[in-house]
Amino acid sequence: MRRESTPEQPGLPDNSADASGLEPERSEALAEISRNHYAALVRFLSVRTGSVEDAEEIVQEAFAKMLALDRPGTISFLASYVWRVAVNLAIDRRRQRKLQDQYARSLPQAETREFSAESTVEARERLAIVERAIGNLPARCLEAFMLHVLNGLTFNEVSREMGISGRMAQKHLARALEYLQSCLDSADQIGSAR
Amino acid sequence: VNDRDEESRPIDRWAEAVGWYSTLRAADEKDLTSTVGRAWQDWYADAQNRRVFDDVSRLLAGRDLYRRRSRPRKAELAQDRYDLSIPIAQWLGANPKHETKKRRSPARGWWWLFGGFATAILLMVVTLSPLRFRSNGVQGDSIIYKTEVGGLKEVHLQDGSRITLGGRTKLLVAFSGQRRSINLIDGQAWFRVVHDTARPFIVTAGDGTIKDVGTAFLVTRDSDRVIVTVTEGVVEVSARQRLLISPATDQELTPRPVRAPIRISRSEQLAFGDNGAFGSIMPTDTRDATTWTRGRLTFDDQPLRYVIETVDRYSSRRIVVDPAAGALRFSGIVFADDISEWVQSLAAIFPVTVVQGGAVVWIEMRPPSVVSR
Repeated sequence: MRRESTPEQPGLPDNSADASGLEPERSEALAEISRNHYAALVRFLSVRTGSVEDAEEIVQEAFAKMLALDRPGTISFLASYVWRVAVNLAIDRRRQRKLQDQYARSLPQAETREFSAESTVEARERLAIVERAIGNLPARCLEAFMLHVLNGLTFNEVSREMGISGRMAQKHLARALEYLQSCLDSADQIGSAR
Repeated sequence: VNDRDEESRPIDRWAEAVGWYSTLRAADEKDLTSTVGRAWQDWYADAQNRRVFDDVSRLLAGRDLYRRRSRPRKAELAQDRYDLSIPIAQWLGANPKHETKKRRSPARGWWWLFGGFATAILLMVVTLSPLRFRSNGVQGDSIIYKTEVGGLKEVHLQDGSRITLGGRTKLLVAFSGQRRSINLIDGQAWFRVVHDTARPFIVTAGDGTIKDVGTAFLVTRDSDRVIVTVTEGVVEVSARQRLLISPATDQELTPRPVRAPIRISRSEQLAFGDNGAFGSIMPTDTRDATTWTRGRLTFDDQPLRYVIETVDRYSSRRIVVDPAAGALRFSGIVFADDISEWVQSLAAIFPVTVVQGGAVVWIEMRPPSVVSR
């Protein structure tokens, strides 16, 4: 089973200052920001928007805006600029999307159509593995998972409901998720051994 | 317990990741770029943290796909001997009898996926066109108004329009020279609009947009549907359109409507779901529709799960209804200041059990009773 691919870096200029028309200093600064912040930004925004694809689009747009700055300033200024812009762009998209929509956008785009059937199967298998694993959770871990993940209760509410501390509620969920992931991982291993 | 000594254990990394995930989702926008965002970036810079966090966010991103389940029974909870000290996989290996419990295969999840596949093909067609999509973004100033549980709030907008927000409701107001945009993110609101042909008043909720044609109307945003009720004048409801931006000029293009807007007049109501399905226009009593602004929640033959969603916006304790009980239909009035009484009474009118938890009240279908012979 394939994992979600790491986000591609946007087409930032490398050291070829002549070709890009940028001073070397600036292109180095941009490359550094891209290296240090791109993946983190995409992950961060995917948590907020619920979609990796949306997150990537937003981050690319934010980087494009940063590239368009007349007077870019220091690296730390640029880094915080790109975060601020990305978060602002993400606010617009915070609306929950239809889950079909969400799922559809996790598929490859049109030109790789033949792969989409394959990844549908993968996503389906993945979901089936997780569902089965959820069914195996010990009762209290299952309860924490249900309350927080399926019913959207905060950790505070979960802890009051289960009569444990917030930290313990968090730990129940942590063990549950660790287990779900271990089931996915071992399915991966079996898959690649075949 | 000394936290420092445990720091290297993988489970604590998982617990931290879980905590960060919920913090990021809940954080205010302004904190994301400052305090919260920075602290998270520092934490995420660690390669092992990153790996665990990525796993956690992938698993939790599927939250809408996972099958809804019944709560574990009291007996199951009492018998649970797992104490978190070792990973669950390891523990199950040592206690194999637990695993023999068979659960039904996730039939519902599969159907969603097929639906998703169909949509995927549709989207592929769409992405072939050389247009860039942008969500309904408004660049200028935008203000978020929100209320807590049970809170009602009256907002006077700069154009003279007024909005009444229901309990646990959140909406975003963004005015520009061309339009007055509102995004109802969650909850219910009653809009009384000062008409301005030059600046249409547009409410977005779920996958629909509601455009006023000089009017007052109510919008309720439930978890997977939107209800529009007109109390005065006329509105037009259309499936939501994203802004299309031309890549050449970066100008906004006029989008082709997916379907003709539906006009709803006074005393009419229309519901549309997140699955794109529109209901038909139903006659409704406008007085009933606005009673919530005076602390009375009125329902007419609604599935209990939607009733609970609304009531929950006014209840100090969260109310959770199991899927079977959620399908029961309810008509009647609930007083916002007397919710716990009402929840108790459900056991008398429906075949349900009301279980009082600490922070949560559970409404569960009563198990089929043994017929006495």
